[in-house]
Amino acid sequence: MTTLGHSASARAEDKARCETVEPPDFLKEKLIKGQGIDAAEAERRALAAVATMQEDYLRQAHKDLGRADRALAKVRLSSGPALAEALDEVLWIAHEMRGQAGTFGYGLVTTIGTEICRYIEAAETPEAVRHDALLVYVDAMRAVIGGRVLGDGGEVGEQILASMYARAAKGGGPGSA
Amino acid sequence: MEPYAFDKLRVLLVDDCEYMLKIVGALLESMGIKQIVGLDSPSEVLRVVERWKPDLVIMDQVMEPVTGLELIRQIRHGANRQRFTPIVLLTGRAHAEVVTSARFQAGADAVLVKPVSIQRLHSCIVAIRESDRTFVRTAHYFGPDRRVKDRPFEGQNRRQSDDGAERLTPDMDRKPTPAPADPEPQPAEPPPAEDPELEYFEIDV
Repeated sequence: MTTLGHSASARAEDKARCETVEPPDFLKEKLIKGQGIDAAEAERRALAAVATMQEDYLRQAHKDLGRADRALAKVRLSSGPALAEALDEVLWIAHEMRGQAGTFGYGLVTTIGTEICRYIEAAETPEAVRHDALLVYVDAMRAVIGGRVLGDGGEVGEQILASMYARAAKGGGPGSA
Repeated sequence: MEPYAFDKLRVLLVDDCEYMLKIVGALLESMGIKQIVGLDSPSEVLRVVERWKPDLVIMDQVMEPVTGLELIRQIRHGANRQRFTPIVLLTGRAHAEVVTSARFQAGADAVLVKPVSIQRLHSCIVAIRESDRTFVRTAHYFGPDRRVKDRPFEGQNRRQSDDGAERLTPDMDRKPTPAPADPEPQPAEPPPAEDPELEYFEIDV
């Protein structure tokens, strides 16, 4: 197996000097097999815990949307390094939102958050990112959260995504190709 | 599936998003884990690892000023027993670069792609517990041995190879141990299939 990212000489050096070490087994000492709960019981408890956090999640999601709005306002007003910084902030918020949403069943937020991240990351320059396209994405997230659209949202979800892609593509934005 | 008692485990959870700490913390508590320390800043991680001695570290990749990958390297290069601590890296996207660096360079035990579910977290921790956690030390790497491409077979034999490293060889008379089923679909963005190296690692353990 190769050691990715290392040069050929580094790999040769690794091969020449490779020592095997038997570590203390942390988990076997403490994680006792045959006792406690199984995965199904853990899932049942987790679902109960997540259910009690749903309202809390929605409050957090609204807060995040507010942060996204403020970051988008900066994007609209900025240029140069400040624009890059503002886009980073949007990227960061989208990244956090998509990571949290899936746990609570808001799969569309994860989908849209991923679109935002891809769009910003794929842009060759900060100036190539269209503020109005980002706005469309954030609006779509707001529609999902506001409407409590769970999972893929069925027909409603399809409509939200179709409308989002159509609006974002106008003017040569993402999805217009 | 076999039950496991998680209640004696100490888990250090690191994510600079406080809400993620809360979510993952709740999932860990659902498994029965009672001793969880959550840190929203990477700056304290090394000190807590050294003093509190967690049995497992779960950390986010994207943090500032130090990334999860860098923290894993620092833990693995420590001087004490804690350098062997099992570490799970959480990442927002299954970027080949991050997964590769985590497993082949930094020395993570596993990489989990967000959103994190209880099924994946549970099977990830159990898989680490059940795995052969032999470490290797080379000029450029210290961490779990990644040289065995396939999952070890039951009845595997150890042998000393020419380079002095201990290797695992399968006992071909036995049937292979089936890989644990992934309880959930693969992440939305699997690493590109055309990358030949990606055949060899899983997103979960």
